[in-house]
Amino acid sequence: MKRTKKGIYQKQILSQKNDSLFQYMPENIQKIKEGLGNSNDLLIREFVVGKEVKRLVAIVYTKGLADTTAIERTIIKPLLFEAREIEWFEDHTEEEILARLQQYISTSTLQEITTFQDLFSAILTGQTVILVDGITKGLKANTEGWESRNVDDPTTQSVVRGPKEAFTENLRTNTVLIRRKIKSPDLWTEKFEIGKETKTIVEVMYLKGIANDKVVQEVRNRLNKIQIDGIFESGQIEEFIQDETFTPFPTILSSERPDTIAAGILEGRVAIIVDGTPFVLLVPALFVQFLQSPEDYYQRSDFGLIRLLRYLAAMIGLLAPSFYIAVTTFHQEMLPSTLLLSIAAQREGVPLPAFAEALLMEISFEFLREAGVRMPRTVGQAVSIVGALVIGQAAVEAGIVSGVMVIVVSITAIANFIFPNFNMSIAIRLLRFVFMAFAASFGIFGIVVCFIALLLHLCSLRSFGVPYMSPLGPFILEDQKDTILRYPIWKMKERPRLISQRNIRRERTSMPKPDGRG
Amino acid sequence: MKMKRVLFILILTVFCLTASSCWSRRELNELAIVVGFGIDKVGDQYQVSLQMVNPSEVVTQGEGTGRTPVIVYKEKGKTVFEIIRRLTTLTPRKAFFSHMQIMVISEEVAREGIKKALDFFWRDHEIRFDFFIVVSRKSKAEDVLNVLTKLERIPSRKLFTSLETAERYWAPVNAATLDKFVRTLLAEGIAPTLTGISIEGDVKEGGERENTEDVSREVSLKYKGIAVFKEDRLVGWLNEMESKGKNYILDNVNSTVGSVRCPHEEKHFTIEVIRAKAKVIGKVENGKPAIYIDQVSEANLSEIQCSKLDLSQPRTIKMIESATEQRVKNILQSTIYAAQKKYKTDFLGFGEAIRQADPEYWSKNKQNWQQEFVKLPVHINVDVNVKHTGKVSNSFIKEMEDSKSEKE
Amino acid sequence: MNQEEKISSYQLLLLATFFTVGSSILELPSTLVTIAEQDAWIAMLLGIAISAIMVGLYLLLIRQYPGKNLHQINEAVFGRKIGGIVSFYLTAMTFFLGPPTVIYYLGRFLSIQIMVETPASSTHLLYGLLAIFAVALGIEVIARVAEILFPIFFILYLGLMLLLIPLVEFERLQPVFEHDFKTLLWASIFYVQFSCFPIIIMLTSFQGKVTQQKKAPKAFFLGNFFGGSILFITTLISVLVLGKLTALFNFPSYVLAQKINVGDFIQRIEMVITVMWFITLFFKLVLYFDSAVVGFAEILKIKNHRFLVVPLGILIIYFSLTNFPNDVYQLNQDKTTWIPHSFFLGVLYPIVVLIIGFVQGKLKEKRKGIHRPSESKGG
Repeated sequence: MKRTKKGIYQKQILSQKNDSLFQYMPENIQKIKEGLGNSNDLLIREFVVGKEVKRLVAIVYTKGLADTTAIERTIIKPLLFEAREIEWFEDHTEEEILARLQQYISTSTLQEITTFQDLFSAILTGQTVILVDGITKGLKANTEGWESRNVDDPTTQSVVRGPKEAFTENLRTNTVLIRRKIKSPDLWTEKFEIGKETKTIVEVMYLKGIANDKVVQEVRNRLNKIQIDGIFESGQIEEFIQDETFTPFPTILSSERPDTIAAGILEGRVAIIVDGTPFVLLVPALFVQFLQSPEDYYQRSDFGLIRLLRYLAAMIGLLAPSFYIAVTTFHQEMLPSTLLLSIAAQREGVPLPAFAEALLMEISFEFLREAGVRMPRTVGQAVSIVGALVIGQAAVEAGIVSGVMVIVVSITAIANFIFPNFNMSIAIRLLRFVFMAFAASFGIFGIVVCFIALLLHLCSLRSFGVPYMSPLGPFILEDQKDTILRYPIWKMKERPRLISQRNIRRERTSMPKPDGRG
Repeated sequence: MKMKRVLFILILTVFCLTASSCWSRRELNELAIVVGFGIDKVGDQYQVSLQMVNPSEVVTQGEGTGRTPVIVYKEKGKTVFEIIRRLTTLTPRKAFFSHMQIMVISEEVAREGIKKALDFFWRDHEIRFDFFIVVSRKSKAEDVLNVLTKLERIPSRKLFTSLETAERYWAPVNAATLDKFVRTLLAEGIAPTLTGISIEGDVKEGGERENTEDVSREVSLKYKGIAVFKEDRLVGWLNEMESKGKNYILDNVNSTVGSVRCPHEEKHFTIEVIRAKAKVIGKVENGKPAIYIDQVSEANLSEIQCSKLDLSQPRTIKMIESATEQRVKNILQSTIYAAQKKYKTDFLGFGEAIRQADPEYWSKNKQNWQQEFVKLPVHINVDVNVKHTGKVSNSFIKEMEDSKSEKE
Repeated sequence: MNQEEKISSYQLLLLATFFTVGSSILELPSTLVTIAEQDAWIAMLLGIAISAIMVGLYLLLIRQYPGKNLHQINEAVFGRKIGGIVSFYLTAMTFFLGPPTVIYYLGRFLSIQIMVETPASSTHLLYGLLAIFAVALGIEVIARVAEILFPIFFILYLGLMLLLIPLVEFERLQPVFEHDFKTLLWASIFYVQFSCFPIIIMLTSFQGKVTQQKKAPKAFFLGNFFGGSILFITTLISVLVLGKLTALFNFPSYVLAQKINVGDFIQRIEMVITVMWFITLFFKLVLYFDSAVVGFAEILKIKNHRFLVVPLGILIIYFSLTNFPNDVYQLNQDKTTWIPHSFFLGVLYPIVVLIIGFVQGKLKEKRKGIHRPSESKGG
C-alpha cells in the first residue's frame, strides 16, 4: 500500500516537473504553491511594471536560501524604480519582452527557463525566478546566499606546523581553497549532479596533463552510474565508487585539508568535491597514503622517521593484544623468566582466560571511545574519568583483569590514535579482533597465517586500477623516497609512478648549498 | 555472488578457529613454573624433585601471604617422564619446564651414569638448553632444592646467577648447560665435567622459612669442586686448585684471583688475572703424540702483604711475575696429574687436540687412547704479565715497616 | 580478474629465493651434518654449484622453447599424446609429493615443537585454506606479497645471524675436509633435491607471465643462488655454533635461535625463526600448488584455471593428512621416493628434452632455413 501511494506521489511530481510554464500568471503561481505544498519559506512578490502597457511581474525565491539584500538591491529596486519607465508594446514577442527586462536586472548571471522543472530546481538552489504575465518563459538570477560556516581550523587532521584552514560545507568555498593553492589553467573541474531529490552538486577536479586520463574517465563513469535519491556526504559517494566493498580498508582517501588535496592533485590524483560536506575525496588512494600526514613534508622531520614510528604504531595497534594472548597462553617460553613470573603473579586469581580478558578490555575500551566521540564535549570529560577509574584501576583491584592487560590495551589504544587518517584506524580496530581470535586458537602460528592472509587481501585490492599496496608491492624503487621514509624534498624529483604515468618529473632543484662554497 | 563468497570465507574461518578448540592453550595461572629439577636414586628407581615457583609470593607489591616462595614436589618411578606425569596427582597444576634454571643430579646417580636420565630433556619440546647442570656433593638433590635462600627469593634462580657470576669472576667452577654437557659426552677426545654443589649447615633447617629471615642462619648452598666424568659416570672430584687448573687449560678463565707467597717471606700477595688465554696444541712427532700448553695471562697486583718488596723497582715486578708463573705452573701440573694419574680420564680434551692436529693418527689410535693418554707427555709454558698495581704503588704496610726499621 | 597475469623480474627473483629456501632453513643443516659432520658447509657450497649448473640447464631449455610452459614443451617434443602423458605424470607426481609434504613439515614442526596437543588436522586445514586463498587470488598477488614479506624476512634473518656471531667457535670446523668427495656429494643431494630440481616446474609455469622476458633468466638464476647462500650461511652458523650436535636435532635452526642471549634482554627469540619458516614454507607451498593448478588446467584444457583451485586444495589437505603415517615414514619417503622422482624431473627430463629439441631444431634448420619465433615485447 505504501508503495502504491509513493508511486502516485512520484507520478504527480513528475507530471508537474515536465510541464512548461503557463501564460497566465495566477495559474503559474498557483502551480508553484501547489508544487511546494504551500511551504512557508516560499516567497512570491508581484508588482506591476511598465510605463504605458503594464505587465504583472512576479519574483519567486526561497527565504533563507537566497540572499535577500542582494535581491532587494539587484532585482526589486531596479524593477520598482527604473523599470517603471520601461516601454512595452502589445505586439512584442516573448524574447523582446525578456530582453528588455534583462537590461534592468543587475545580477551576474541571468538565464531563461521554460519548464517547471527548471523553475523548481532554481528556487530550491537559492536562485530567484522572475516571471512575466503573458509569456511562457521566465528568468532565473543567481542570488544564492545562505548561511554557511566560515573557513575554520581542521578538526580531524590537525598539524603543529602547516596551513590551518579546512574545507567547509560550501562547495564553492572548497574549490576556491584549492584554486588558491594551484593557480594553473590546467586545473580543470567537471560538474555532476547526483541525487534525484537532493540534487547534490559533485565536482571533479584534476590537473589536465598530469592526471591519468583513464582514471578521470573511470571516475566519470562511476559517478554517472550512481542512482540514488540523496547524497549528504562524500562517504556515500565513496561507497558507490570504491573498487571493493567487502574490505575493511578504505580505498579512497578523504580529507578536510586543502593542502592534502592540492598535493594529491599535483601528484596526478583526482579530487571529488561534494557539496555539503567538508570532506573531499581523493583517488586513487594507496595504503601508504593513509599513514602519511601533510606535516611530514612541512617539518624537517629528518628523513621522516616519524613515519616509521607510525608504521610501528600500526603494527602495535593491530597486533599487541593478539601477541599478548599468544605469548601468555601458548608460548610462555618466550618471556624472560622474571617477566613471566611477574605476569603470572598478576594473573593469579584472574577468573577469565587471557582471550576473554583481552576481549572484555578491548570491547569496553571501544565503548568508551565511541561514547567519547558522540558525547557532548562537556560530558566527555566525565566519560574519560569513569573510563580511567573503571577500566583501569577498579578492574585490576577487583582482580577481574590483570594489570599487564590494562597496559597492553592502553598501548594499543594510544597506537591507534596515531593514524593521521581516521578511516584506517577503523580498519585496524576491526581487524585487531580477528587477530585476537586467531591468536587465541593457534598462537603465533595463527597470527602469522592471519597476517599473510591480510597481506594477500591487501595486495589484491586496487584503487581505480592502481594496486593498493604499491609502491611496496609491486615494489617501485623510485617511489621509496616517499613511502616509509621521507627523503629531503629536493630529492623527490619525480611524481609517484602508477598514479600519473606521464609528465613524471616535478622540478629540478639540486641539493641546497650555501653560496660561495660550491 | 560476492556476498556469498565473503560469507563462505567467514564461515570457514570460524570453523577453522573452533577446529583447533584451543587444545594447546595453557593459561599462565594454570601452570606450575618449574625452576629446579633434582634427580636422586632410591633403591633401583629414580626420584625426581621439582622446585616450583609460587608467583604471587615472589612478586609482591604489598606484603606476602606468608607462604614459601617455592614448593618442592617429589615422586619415584622408572623413567623421568613417567614420574613427571605422575606428579600431576600431587601438584594442582601442570608442570612447565621452559624456565628451568638448574638441574641437580645427586652424586649417587652421577656415579652410576646419567645418560639414561638425560634423554627426556633432550627430547621434550618444553626444555630449553639454558639451564645449568650441577652435581650435589655428599647430599641428595632433593635436599639441595629444599634449601631456601636469602638474597634471591627463588633458590634455583640464586643457584643459576651465582654460578654465572662465579664463572665470570672465580675460576674453579664449571657452568655447564645441557647442550655443552652432551657435546663433551659425544666428543671422542674429551670427557665432561660438572660443578659440584654442597649444603653448608644443617640440612633440615634449610627448608624452614626462618632460614630466610635470620641474618646469621648458616644453612646455605655453595659450589664446591668439579666432578670429573668418565663417559657418563662420575669418577671423582677436583679440589679447588685442580679445578682452577682445569679452567686455565680449557681457556674458561675470564677473571680470577690467586694468592702467591712472597719471595723471602711467609706472607702473600694476591694477583688478579684479568685476561687469560690458553692454547692446548697437540703434536704427533715420529708417531708419538705430545701436548703443548701455552698459557698467557695479563694480571694486576691487587693486594700485597709483603713488606720486603719494593714495588717501585721494575725488578720487583719481574720477581712477582716469575713467582706467579711458578704458581700457575704448579696449578696446571696438579690438574694434569689429576687427569692422567688420579682419575685417568681425559677431561682436558687432549684427545681432541691430537685429533685436530693429526686426524689420521687419531683414527688409528682412538681405540687405545686410554692407555696413550695416561703416559702422554705434557709441556707447559706459562707467561704472566703484571700490568697495574692498583691505586698505589707501594703498600702502606711497607711504609710502616720501613719507618719502623728507620727508628730502630 | 580477466586480465592477463604479469609478474616482474624482481618478483620472480624473490619467488625463486623463497622457493629455494623453502622448508630447508629449519631442517637442512641437520641432514647435512648427519652425513658430512663438520664439513656440511662444504657440501652446501657443492650443492650451490650443482644447482647453478642445473638451473643453467633449465634456462637453456626454456630458451629453446621461449614463452612455452611445461605442457607446451612436452607437446612440441613428444607429440600430442605422449607429451600429454609425460606432462600429466610430471604434474601429478609433483602435486602428489610436493605440497602435501610441505604441509606435513609444518604440521610436524608445530606438533613437535610448538603446539603439541593441537591435532594436525586443524593446523593442516588452516594452512591449506591459506594456500587456497592465495592461489585463488592469483600469482600476481602472491608475488606482491613476496615483495612485502621479503624485506621483513631478510631483516629478521640478518638479525638472527648477527646475534649468533658471539657464539661462534671456529674450532668446530676442524678438521676441514675430513670427508671424501663422495660423502659431500651425497650430502649436497639433500639440498639439491628440494631446492633445485623442483624449480623446473615453477620455471615452466611462469613462462610468458614475466614482463621483462630478457631479464627473467638472470632473475631466476640469482634467486636460486641467493636462496642457496641463505641456506649456506645458516648451515655454516649451525656448524660453528652447535657443531656436531646439529645432527641430533630435528630443527637445528630453532635450537640456534634458542641459544641467543644478548645481555639478558634479547633472549628467547626462537619464535622469530619460526615466523621466518612459516613465511618461506608458505611460498614453497603456494608455488607448488599454483604450478600444479596451472599445469592441470593446461593438460585438461580448462580455460579458467581458478575453477581447479578449491578441489585441488582440498586434495592437498587430504593427502597431507593421509600420506604419512609417521615421521619416520616421511623421512624415508624423502630418501626413497622423492630422490628418484626429483632426479627424473630435474636431471633426466630436461636433458632428454634438450637433446630431442636440439635434434629437432637441426632438422628444421635443414628444411626451412633459420626460423626464430619473434620475442614478445617487454612492458
